Amino acid sequence: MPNKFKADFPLLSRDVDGMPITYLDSASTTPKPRAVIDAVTRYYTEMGANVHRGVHPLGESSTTAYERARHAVAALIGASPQEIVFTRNATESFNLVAQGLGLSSDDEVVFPASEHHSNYMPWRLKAKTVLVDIDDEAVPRYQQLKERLTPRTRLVTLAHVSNVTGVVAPVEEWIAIAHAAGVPVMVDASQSVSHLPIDVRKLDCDFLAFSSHKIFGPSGVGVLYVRKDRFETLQLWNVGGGMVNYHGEDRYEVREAPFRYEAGTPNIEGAIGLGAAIEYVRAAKMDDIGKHSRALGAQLVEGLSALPGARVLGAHVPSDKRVALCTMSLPVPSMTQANIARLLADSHGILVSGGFHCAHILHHRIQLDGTLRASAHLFNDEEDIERLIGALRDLV
Amino acid sequence: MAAEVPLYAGRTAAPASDDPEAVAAWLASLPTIGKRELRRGFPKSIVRTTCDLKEAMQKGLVEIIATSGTTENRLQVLWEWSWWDPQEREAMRLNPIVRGAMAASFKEAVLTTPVCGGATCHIGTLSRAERTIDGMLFLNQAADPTHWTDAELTRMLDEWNDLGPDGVEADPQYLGALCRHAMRRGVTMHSPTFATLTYEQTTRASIRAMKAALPTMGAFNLYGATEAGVLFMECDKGRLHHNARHSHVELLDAGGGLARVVVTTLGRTWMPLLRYDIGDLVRLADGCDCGLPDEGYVLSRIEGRANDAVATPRGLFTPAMLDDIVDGADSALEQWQLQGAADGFLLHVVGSDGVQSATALAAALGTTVEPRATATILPEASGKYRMVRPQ
Repeated sequence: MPNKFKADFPLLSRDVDGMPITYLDSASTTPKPRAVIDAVTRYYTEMGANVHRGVHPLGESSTTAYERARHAVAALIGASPQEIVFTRNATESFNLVAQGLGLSSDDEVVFPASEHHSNYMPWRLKAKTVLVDIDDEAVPRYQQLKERLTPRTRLVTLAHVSNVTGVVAPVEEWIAIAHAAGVPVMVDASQSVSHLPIDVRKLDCDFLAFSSHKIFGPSGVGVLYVRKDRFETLQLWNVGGGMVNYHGEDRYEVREAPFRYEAGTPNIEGAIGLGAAIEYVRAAKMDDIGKHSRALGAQLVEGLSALPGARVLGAHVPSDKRVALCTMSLPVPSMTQANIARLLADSHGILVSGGFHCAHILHHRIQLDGTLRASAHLFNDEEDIERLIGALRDLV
Repeated sequence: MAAEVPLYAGRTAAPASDDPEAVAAWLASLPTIGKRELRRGFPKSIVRTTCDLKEAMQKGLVEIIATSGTTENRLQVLWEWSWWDPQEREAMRLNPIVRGAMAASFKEAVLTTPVCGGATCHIGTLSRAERTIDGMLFLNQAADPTHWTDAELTRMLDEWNDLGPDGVEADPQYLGALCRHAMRRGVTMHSPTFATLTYEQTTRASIRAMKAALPTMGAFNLYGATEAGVLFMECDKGRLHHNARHSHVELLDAGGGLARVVVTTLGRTWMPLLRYDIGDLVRLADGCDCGLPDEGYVLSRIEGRANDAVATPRGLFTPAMLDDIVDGADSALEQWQLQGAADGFLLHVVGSDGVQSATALAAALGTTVEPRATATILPEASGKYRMVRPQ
């Protein structure tokens, strides 16, 4: 039975050199369904005005659509709209918190050595980084958290799902441990938000970030969830238009959160597209997406592990603790993993990632000079995975 | 009058006599107008050619204000205090409880869309003194009540209790939210004698919240529009009585016991309306035993915006009818909004998982209704909530 979602994605019907494409690179960015493309187009053709300023019908329509997207984000993760700040991407969300917390070089931020650069560099610039080790398969030694916490720890942060291994982290446990020590926790949900249901109230996290483009939305929009009471600890960081209620020569008065953190004209069409993307995944049911993701993840691990000489990262982790994302190193003489990825595209129309996936430290620690990453989503099916495994089998 | 107002040029002249039947026949022969007509050419098109608007504005007799109607229906209005205030007070006095409370020392609070929208005024946070206008304390300062913080809600509660209002003019959704906040915080609210509920449709959930937090307060619908005046006031028997001295109302049959409201204003110097279709549906009552003189129509209830009614093969469902079904199935919910979807509807619900309501609604409408639990529902840019919105 053909995958019922595939037809929703115009991009997936194109070919490369006459070959139909098999898209297995959703961890890098997801293709966009027609509903998202239409929502962005509709903004340009029917609204087209700035937000929070307009006194004409187009301005009001734009504002309503933009704020509706904020509500959609909040509803998706169980937050209140007041707790949702729109940023440019997850990276900017981390930078906002890193700057907003007013960290000093003596302050410590604890996170796994496997983190994406976006959840690494901002802390490195502002504070002292304290790493939780990873094992030979790049999975964090989560039990080390307690011993890493000190009186100087200002924040604990981690990826909900690793962008390299696809492994789901025990975020609830980490949050409980960190909170017991009085330390707030930031969660990188970039790789989890489109695969797993998320409820920030149940997680009890303090901050959470993700990018729109990883959940079928447009690029250039990110989300930062800030638990309501945590706004008090976040200083202003980017200031200008749209974030003040009053600005006179004598004084100024900033708007309430989240608007005080959204200076300047935002990516209106991007946010509206994100709202449409969220409607799309909610209609598809997050629970069903999660089941499908786990099944494809298990198939990837099993199939890729069977390839001669393959080193699959996080292969020992049970399938219910991972999503449809699998990274491996395949020994092919005189070929880098990036070369293999290119070959898959050129010869088979199979699109995967090859390289370091913005996780250099992870690769250094497990002594791999790059890896090959395949990441599937709701529009992929078992045949796509089989096609990848077959192509790699031919190669080795 | 008609001949002097450019918008009504070409209309046949009114009959010479005041005979009600002749007047009714004359009105029925004229076309109705809507907001689109009022917007076009405003303000010149709606001012008598014999009146000097510029001079009246310079003298402060009239000013231009924007209505807080929903997005696609907003318009500007010539606001005439000398006409508005008396007709509003007279409408309120149709209710004996309200009339009794409106003494000389009457204290009033207002909880509706803000007195000044931050998007246009840029005046920052106003002090309580600055928000007290003609003795009325305007509580709200936020254009979007979903962004009320706990501190802001508590500030409003504190001011409410400190003032101890005798009467409150409130958007029912806003007052419902404030009451729920008070209940959650365990704060006892000073109970005014009455609240006039206006600005938008009153939901059962809003009334439930008011009854829980303010059990002795009388809550009465005050129905009208900024551009048309106050048309109906709810009495203590739950019926809505026509404010007949300031408007002539026609109820045009819309089928199923429903009627559209068409207004012709009376005694208005500026912006006289001639057969203005206000865009709402109402239901006529078989009279009322509250004792008020029979001066016009008596309504059993306001059914909501005609544009928000849902047409199905089983008939038309007005917002009020939908509220009966949604709230009737689940009295835990606080707010809801029905949204069109590709194959049916999405029912966004605050305060509940929405499953029971969606099931009941699906059975009534004969289509799929998917429940969507949510923390908040976004109001329109005007600050008003829309109960039904398109896909």
